Amino acid sequence: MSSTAQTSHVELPGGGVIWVVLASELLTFGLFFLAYAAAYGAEPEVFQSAQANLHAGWGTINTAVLLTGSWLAARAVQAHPAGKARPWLAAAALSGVAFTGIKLFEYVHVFELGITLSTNTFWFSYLFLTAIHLLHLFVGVGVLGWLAATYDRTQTDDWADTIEAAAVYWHMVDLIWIVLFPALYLVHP
Amino acid sequence: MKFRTQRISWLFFATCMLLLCLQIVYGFIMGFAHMGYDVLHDYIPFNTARATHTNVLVVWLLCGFMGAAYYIVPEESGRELWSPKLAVVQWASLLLVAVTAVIGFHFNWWEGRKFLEIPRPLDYLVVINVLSFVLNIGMTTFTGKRYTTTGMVLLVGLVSAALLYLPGMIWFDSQVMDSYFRWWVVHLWVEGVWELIMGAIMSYLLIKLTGVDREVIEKWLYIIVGLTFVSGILGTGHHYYWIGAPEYWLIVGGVFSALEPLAFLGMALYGVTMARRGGRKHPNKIAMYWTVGCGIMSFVGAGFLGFAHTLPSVNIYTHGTLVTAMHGHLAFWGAYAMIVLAIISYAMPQMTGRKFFDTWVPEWAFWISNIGMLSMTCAFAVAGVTQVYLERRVGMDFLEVQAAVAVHFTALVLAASLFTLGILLFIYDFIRYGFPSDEAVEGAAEPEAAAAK
Ligand code: HEM
Ligand code: HEM
Ligand SMILES: [Fe+2]
Repeated sequence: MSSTAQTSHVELPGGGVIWVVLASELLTFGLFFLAYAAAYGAEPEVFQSAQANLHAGWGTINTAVLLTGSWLAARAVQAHPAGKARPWLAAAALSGVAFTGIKLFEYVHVFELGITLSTNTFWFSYLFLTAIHLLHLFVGVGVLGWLAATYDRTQTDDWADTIEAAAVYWHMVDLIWIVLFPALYLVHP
Repeated sequence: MKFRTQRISWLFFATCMLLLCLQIVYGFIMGFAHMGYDVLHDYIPFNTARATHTNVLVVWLLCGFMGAAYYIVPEESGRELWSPKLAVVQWASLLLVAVTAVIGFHFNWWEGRKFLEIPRPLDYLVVINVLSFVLNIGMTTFTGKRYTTTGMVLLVGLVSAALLYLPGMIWFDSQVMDSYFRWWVVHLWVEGVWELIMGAIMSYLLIKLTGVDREVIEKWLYIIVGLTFVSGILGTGHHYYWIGAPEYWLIVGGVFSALEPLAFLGMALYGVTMARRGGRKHPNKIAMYWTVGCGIMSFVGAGFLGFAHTLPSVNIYTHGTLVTAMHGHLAFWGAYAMIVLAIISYAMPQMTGRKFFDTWVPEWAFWISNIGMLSMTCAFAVAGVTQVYLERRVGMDFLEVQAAVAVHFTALVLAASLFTLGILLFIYDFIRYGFPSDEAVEGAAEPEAAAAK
C-alpha cells in the first residue's frame, strides 16, 4: 500500500493504520487493567476466594498456545517474500481455534458454578475481559484464515503490508492475554 | 453538479431550513418559560415545546443526511439516481409524517420517550419511508459504475441508522427495559452510526474542496470508523448508570465512553490536516469553513463536553440537569447541524450554478451562528453548574433551584438571539441561490471553475 511513493518516511510494519488500531486497543485494555487493580484493592478477599475457582493450568496451556500462534505469524511474515506464507498463516489461525476450544471448556466450568456477570466484581472482570479478548481473537482468526485461503504466491509485493498488519494484530491479541492471564489467574497480593 | 437527479436534494435542504426555524421558535418558548414567562402555557406547555424542539431537530438532521445522500451517492457511484420519482414521494411523505407528529404533540398524542416521541402508528410510516430511501440509494450504489470507500461508509451508516430505529419500537411493560433499548437508538445513533455518516460526508467534502488524494483522505476515514466502534458501542453504558440496569455498566460505560472523544479528536485533526495539506484550491471557501468548523466544534461539544460528565463519579451529580443540555446543544450543533450546513453550502452553488462565494453574508452567517451557539453553551453551563451545586450538593428543592437559575436564561435568550441572526443570514443566502438549474449540470462543476460572479 504505502511502500510505493514515500521513501523519506520511516515505515511502520503493516502501514500506519494498524498501529492506530493497536494504540487504541491497548489504551482501552490499559484502562480496564487499572480499573481491575483498583477493584482488587477495594475487596481483596472477594477476589481471592473467587479466583480459587479458576484453574491456572488451563490458563497456562492457553498462554503457550497463543505464544506459539505469535511465533507462527512471525514465521508467515518471514516466509512471505519467498511466497511460502500459506501454511504458517493457516497454522496461526488454527492456534486461535485451539485457544477458543480451551476457553469455552473453561467457561462451561464457570457457568456450572452458577456464575453470571453480576455475581461480583471479580467474575464480572473475568467474564467481560476474557470475552472481549476472545472477540478480538475471532477477528484475528478470521483475517489469518482468509489470508491463508486466498493466498497468492505470485503477488508477494501487494500482500506484504497486509500480512505484516495481520501479524502485528495477532501479536497484540497475544500481548493482551499475557497481561490478562496473570492478573486474573495468578496474582494474589 | 454532474447528474441531473442530484438536484432532488434541494427539496430536503429546503425542508431542513424550515424545520430549523421551527425548532428555534420552540427553543425560545422554552427559554422564556425558564425565565418565568411561560405565557403560552395553556396552548404549548413545556413538555410539548421540548418534544417539538428535540424531535424536529432529529427530523431535520435526518432530512439533511438524506439530502446529502441524494447528492453524494449518484456522484460517488457514477450514475443518475435509481428512481427520482420515488425520492420525491419519499420526501413528501416524510414531511407529512413530521407535520402530523408535530401537530399531534400539541394534542397530547405522544409517547413520553425523550427524542423518540412520535406515536407508534407513525413509527410504521417512518419505517416504510426510510426503507424506500434506503432502496433508492442502495440501488443507485449497486448498479453504479464504481464503489468508493466514502460512498460505502455513507451507505453503511444510513442503513445501520435505519436498522437501529427498530429496537426503539419494541414494546416493554418495564420502564427499565424500555429505556435500555431506547438508548440503542439515541446513543448508538449519535455516538455510532451517525458518526459514520458525518465522517463520510466530511471526506466527500474534503476530497472536493482540498484536492488531496482520495486514498489519503479515505485512509483517515477508516481510522475514524474504527475508533468510533471501539469506543461507541459499549459506551452506551454511560446512559445505564442509574436507570436500573446491572451495576457493571458503571465500569463498562465509564471506560468505553471515556474513549469516545478520540473519534471526535480524529475528526478535528482530519479536517484541519487535510485543509492545511490541500491549501485553498477550491473557490467555495465557505463550505470549507463549515467542514473544518464541524470537525473542531464536534470535538469541543461531543468530545470535550461529553467527557466532562461521562465518568460515573461526575455523572451522579450532573445526570439529567442543565449540564446535559449544555452538552446536548454544542454536540448536536458541532457534529450534525454543522455537517448538514456544510454540505448545503457546498451543494447550493453546484446545483444552481450561481457562485456567490465572496459576499459577506455566508461568512457572517458562519461566525455569528457559531459565536451565538458557543455563548448559549456558556449560559447553559453556568445555569447547569449552579443547578448541580444547589440541588445536588446543598439539597435545595428542584423548583426553588429553577427560580434561582432563571436569571441565566436571560443570558441564554440573548445568546440564542445572536445565534438566530446567524441562521437567518444562512437562510437568506440559501434563498438567494434560488432553485437548481439544468445549466448547472456538468460544466460548472469542480475546482477549475473560477469564482464567476
Ligand atoms: C455528536 C455526538 C453527541 C451528541 C449529539 C450528544 C448528545 C447528547 C444528548 C442530546 C444528551 C441528552 C440525552 C438525554 O438525556 O436524553 C446526551 C447525554 C450524554 N452524553 Fe452525549 N452526545 C454526543 C457525544 C457524546 C460523547 C462523545 C460523550 C462522552 C465522552 C457523551 C457523553 C454524554 C453523557 C455522559 C450523557 C448523559 C448525561 C446525563 O446523565 O444526563 N456524549 N448527549
Ligand atoms: C436559538 C435557539 C435555541 C434555544 C433558545 C434553545 C433552548 C433550549 C431549551 C431551553 C431547552 C430545554 C432545556 C431543559 O430541558 O430545561 C433545549 C433543549 C434542547 N435543545 Fe435547544 N435551543 C435552541 C436551539 C437549539 C439548536 C440549534 C439545537 C441543536 C443543534 C438544540 C438542541 C437541543 C437539544 C438536543 C435539547 C435537549 C437537551 C437535553 O436533553 O438535555 N437547540 N433547548
Ligand atoms: Fe451517549
